[in-house]
Amino acid sequence: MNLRTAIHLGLITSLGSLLVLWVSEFTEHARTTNRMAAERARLMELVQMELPEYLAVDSKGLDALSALCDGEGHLKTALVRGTGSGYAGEIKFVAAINGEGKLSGVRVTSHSETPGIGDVIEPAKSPWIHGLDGRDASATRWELSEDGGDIDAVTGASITLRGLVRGVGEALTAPLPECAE
Amino acid sequence: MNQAITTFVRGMARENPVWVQMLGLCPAMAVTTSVTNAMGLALATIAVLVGSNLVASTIPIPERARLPALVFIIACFTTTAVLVLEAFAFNLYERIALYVQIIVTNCVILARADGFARHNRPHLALLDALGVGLGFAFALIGLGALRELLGSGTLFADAEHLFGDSAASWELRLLPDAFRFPLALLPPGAFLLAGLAIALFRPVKPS
Repeated sequence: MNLRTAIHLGLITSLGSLLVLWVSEFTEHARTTNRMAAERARLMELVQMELPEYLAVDSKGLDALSALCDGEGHLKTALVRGTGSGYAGEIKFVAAINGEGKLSGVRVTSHSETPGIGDVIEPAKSPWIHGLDGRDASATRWELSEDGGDIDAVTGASITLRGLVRGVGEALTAPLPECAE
Repeated sequence: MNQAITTFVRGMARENPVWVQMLGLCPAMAVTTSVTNAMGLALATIAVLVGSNLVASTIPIPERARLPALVFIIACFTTTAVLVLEAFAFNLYERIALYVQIIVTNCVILARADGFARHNRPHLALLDALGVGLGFAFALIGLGALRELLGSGTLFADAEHLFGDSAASWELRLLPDAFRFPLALLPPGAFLLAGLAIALFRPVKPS
């Protein structure tokens, strides 16, 4: 009786696994393409330029630090990946810095902040994040103005913004990548 | 014939899985911040429900190990739904994947497979899955519409994530920003509105 149940369960699990395996194979290509395209689109919006083909953006995203160089070995834009600690967990972001050390912009790639309050970090909900555009990476004091820094907060979202701003400041202390000739 | 009609209809109101049986309340409150999200999860749930009900009514399920067997079957269909979403509706996938994955623990589906489909013929199991699935969809979309309208002042925002680019124009702006009520989008708002819906369904509950 036990043996019969075991064989029975074994048959059901084998059939089910085959189904999942087949669907997984069948959708593999579309899923990878989607993931890469989404990551690339986020980054392209940030650096406002076509990403060169050699810059492989896989499902895990870029490395912590990636350089976009022009033909003569000058750094055009460096992409820096970082995390800040928000009100409800990690806020992951990508920052783009140009060759002169000025911030081109920051985009949050994932967060779980409170809707209606902490989501001011999304460009679709609030222009706040554009206030970081053009700031000098080293001359800016990366704290909220209420903590004696240079960045203005939004009422109700201090914890979210403090975490994000500190995270950005921390990420920008890494030395910029060199362009190989 | 009569039995078929009753099987199909009862899941929608009298035995509505969410508002009357109070099953699946967790996903019902978690994803319903907009109509589009609600529809996405409802469609995925109907697909899993139909699949697992059909299988549970067609193949013999070992009586002594029926729960692991049914949960396994449901898990297979859920994984399939997640993979299909990721391949064909990626924007929506990014927003609701977490909740689609936990369809496997949705008691509505296990209850239908174990309590109904296992003892009935496939065509009845299919009608039952569709009826209960539509009842679930009806609950989710209703709550989603109410929350999106009160919280964001819109309906059908981001419908293109589910129905393709032609749906981008479906968005209706019904309330000016000054009348928005963000509490409706937060978890406490979901509890308040769900409580009201359960109260409204009290009179139709079979005693």
